[in-house]
Formats: sequence, C-alpha cells, structure tokens
Amino acid sequence: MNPLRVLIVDDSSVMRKIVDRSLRQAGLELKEVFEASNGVEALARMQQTRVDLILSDINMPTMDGLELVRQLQAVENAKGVPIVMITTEAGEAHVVQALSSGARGYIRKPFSPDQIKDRIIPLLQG
Amino acid sequence: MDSEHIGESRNRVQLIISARSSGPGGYTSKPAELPREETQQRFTQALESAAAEVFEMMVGTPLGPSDEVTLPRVADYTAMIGLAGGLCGVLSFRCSLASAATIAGKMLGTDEQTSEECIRDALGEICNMVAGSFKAQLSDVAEQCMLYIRA
Repeated sequence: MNPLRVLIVDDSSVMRKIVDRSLRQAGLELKEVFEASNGVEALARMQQTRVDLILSDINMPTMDGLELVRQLQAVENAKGVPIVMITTEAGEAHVVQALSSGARGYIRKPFSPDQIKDRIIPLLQG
Repeated sequence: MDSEHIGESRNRVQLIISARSSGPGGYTSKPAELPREETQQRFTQALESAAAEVFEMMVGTPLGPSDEVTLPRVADYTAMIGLAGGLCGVLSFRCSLASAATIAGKMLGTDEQTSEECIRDALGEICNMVAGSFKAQLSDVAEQCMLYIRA
C-alpha cells in the first residue's frame, strides 16, 4: 500500500493527534496528514487538496460531520475518497444516518489501533 | 476512582452521573419509570464500565474504584457533558491538576509538559467518550439520547 494522504477532522486537537498516532500504530504509512477542526475547515481543505482517506468526528461546532459528508459529495477532490466517521455517537440510528449520508465506515470512540486497522484497511484495498 | 498506574503515584478522578431515565421506550408516548434501585445499579455499573474502557483504551491505564467517595475534595478541573432524550442529565468528570496533566500526557503519548489548552481538551474528550460509552450500554433507555457538544 502506498503512503497515504489523510484528512483528520475533529474539534479536539488531542483527538486529532490520537487518531494520527493510531493510524501509524495500525501499520499505515502516512505521507501527509491534514487537520481540520470542523466541517467548514475540512471542506475548504478538500477544495484544494486530494487525499486518500478522510476520518471525521460527528459532533462538531460550525458544521458537523454528517453535513460535511453530504457536502463532500459535490467536491471533485472528494469523489471516491473513503470517509470514516470516528465518534462517540454509536447508536444504530447514528450509524445508519452516517452511512446513508455517504460515509463508508464507522468507528466508535474509544478505539484501539487494531479497530482502526480492521475498519480502514479493507476500505483502502477495496 | 483510582488509577494506580498513572505516573508514580495514585491518581484519583471522580465521575458523577446525575441522570434520569424515562425507561424503555421512554422517549415515546408512555414513559415507564424503572425502579429507583435498579436504575441506580445499572447507571453505576454502566459508568464504571464506560470509564474503565475509556481509560484503558485512550489513556492506557486501568481504572479501579476508589475507597473514598468524595475524591478529589477540591477539583482543579471539571469537565461536563449533558445528555438529553430518553436519558437526560449531566456527566461530570473531576480531578486534580496533577492527574489532569498526567492524563493529557498519556493521551498524547508524551512525557513533556502539556499546555493548559491540551489538558482541557483531553479532559473534555474523556468526559465525552465516557458519556458515549455509558449511553451505549444503556441502549434500551438511551436510544433517543443525544450528547450535547461539550463547552
């Protein structure tokens, strides 16, 4: 697998660092990691940059993760890019809502690097 | 609760859930109150389990019950998150400055001194994840429950 360009979207800078570290611990080689603290920043980033994977929280101020996923459908650079939600909101209704919005995967916080690996690698290989 | 393996000394944190459940299907038209003792027992078990899971996975340290109820007596940090819906209330997380700094450092994987902003951020995330896990364990009463974005 080629080194990845990843966008991590979370309003917590600590959580962004944990996700970054967990990806590396899961054995993924990261070429470049972009960070955004809400959906608006993530959209702006995606207008300029092409990435291989987007990991996003749901509950964020300004624009939440579900709205981000919906709006990314119209962004050329985001076409075909797997989006995985990483969130504390793990109820069935939230999972269905996220997947029907266009997310390809769902990881519940707290998570382990193994869970990251199990959910993300199949998406990148598929 | 005590965390015995954070740093060199025992670190104490306190988690308090103050919530009301309207019972299975409580968010729909006919709320059914659970018996008070049963509710308290379920809440306590769910909170202990949620906190243990979060500390083990995100802080990398086990968490056990404390033998003293009112620890820490004076908290330097308090993080709070609101729950609304079939299960409504507030979860708060309290600890000392030393414990908070250790927790944040563990989460970030650094022994270096962490900034005030990082400490607050880390504790907010802990509180958020414990609330999410707590809620997930009470899915029969919390199905329609929402977490407020932490402030």
